Amino acid sequence: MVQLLVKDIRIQQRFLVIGFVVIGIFFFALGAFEGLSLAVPAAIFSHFLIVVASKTDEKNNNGRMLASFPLLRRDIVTAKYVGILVFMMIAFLITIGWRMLAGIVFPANELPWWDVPSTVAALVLLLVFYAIYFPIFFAADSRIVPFLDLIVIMTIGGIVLLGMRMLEWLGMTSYISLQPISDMPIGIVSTGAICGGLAMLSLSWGISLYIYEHKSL
Amino acid sequence: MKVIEFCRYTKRNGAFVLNRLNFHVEKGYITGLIGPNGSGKTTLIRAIMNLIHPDEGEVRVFGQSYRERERDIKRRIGFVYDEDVFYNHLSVKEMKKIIASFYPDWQEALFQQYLHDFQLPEQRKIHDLSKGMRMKFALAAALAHEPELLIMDEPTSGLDSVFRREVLAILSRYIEDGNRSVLFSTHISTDLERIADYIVHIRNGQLMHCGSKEELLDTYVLVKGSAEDYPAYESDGKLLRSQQTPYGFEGLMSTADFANHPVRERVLSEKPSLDDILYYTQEGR
Repeated sequence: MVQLLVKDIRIQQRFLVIGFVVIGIFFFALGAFEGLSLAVPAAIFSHFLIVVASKTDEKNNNGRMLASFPLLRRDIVTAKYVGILVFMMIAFLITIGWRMLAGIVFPANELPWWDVPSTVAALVLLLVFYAIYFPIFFAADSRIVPFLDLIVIMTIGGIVLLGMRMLEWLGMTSYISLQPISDMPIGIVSTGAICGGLAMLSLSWGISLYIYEHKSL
Repeated sequence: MKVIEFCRYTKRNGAFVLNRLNFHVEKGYITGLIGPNGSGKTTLIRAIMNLIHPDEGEVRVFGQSYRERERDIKRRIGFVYDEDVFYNHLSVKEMKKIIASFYPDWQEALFQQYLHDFQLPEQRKIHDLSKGMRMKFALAAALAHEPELLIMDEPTSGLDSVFRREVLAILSRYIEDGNRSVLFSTHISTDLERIADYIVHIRNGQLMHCGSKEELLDTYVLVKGSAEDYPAYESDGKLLRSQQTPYGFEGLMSTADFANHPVRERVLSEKPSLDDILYYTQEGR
């Protein structure tokens, strides 16, 4: 499985460099994320790396090649999920590194700031997104994969909007309040949210495994 | 000894069915997999690579089942597919590093030797390689871990005759020690006539023949006769398929039927080529 993770890094060395430069120059030097949380560029960079790695595997029947190597399909699925955590870590570390470097030159108030709630929110958002994305990725035809992230984003967005609208129609918005959550200590909320995200990802891994092990390649 | 064994293997995909296949591929030989387009050659190769799962039965490789020994089996197989399976934006060297990482027995010196022999530049991107060069790279990568079984899906299609002969020469050398086997599918039957020892012939997912190439060629006779002789052959229904030629007719029939045919002296009989067998045994002709 380690070979699969190393493979994912090898196939996107170029994108790692591009991401590194884009974050450094565009986000920091040009101040595109001035006044925003550091979690925003880190989350975008994470998403870029994870999606590029999965899309690259679906080009030119690369999935068929991987399944012909001395691997189990379980290894291929598990590596994709471990890759989520690895690429998130890489993206966050690179972004923090750039923040530290930029801090030498620029005043702190012109740079993205770092805080726990926004970082947790970004991490949970990514975990939930990939918990939905990967089962569809493993089930879908390779022709859909290039647009899959957009499909998932629009589907989630659509469901959230529809849910909110339905609550409005039913006049139930007043019953829904985030107050109890915001009153809780940030550590408990963060831990709960991260654990929830990881639980969703674990369930998603099980679904993906079932789908991929029964799929004809 | 059996290197691949299909045991009542059944796979349905819509209207197409690989139906209760029972046959095996001999160890130490080159076996050709032939059949018209859509006959199931690629499906059969995917079945051997465990890329598709059977509805019934199983395929055993090296006497082992994929259910228990998938990694071990695949470690001993080299594969060359007809389609693009590599990461095209990588260079030959980068792609090699990825492939090599999956095989503990990877022989770097052997791979470099193949690159040298095939005149493959290591720094060249995969997408910049011609179809022939890509096939050479695929072959070098498949052979560099010294697999016991080499599986190739249409390796020579779209290649010029010079390179096709080079590939065939490599395959002949590869099985010289008697412990290695090759299975390759092709619709270019002349390649098989040149090097195959055994032939697996499938049509519409059904096994038509599995045995030595000579057995297959001896099963049929190519009959050529004048237009006046045609009714005598056509009427008894022994002619599998036939076509009209400027000089009369040409058709295929079984050797046994021809030997007992009452007017066999009036026609010419020849040993058919694999191409003739493929052509005349095709349905709808």
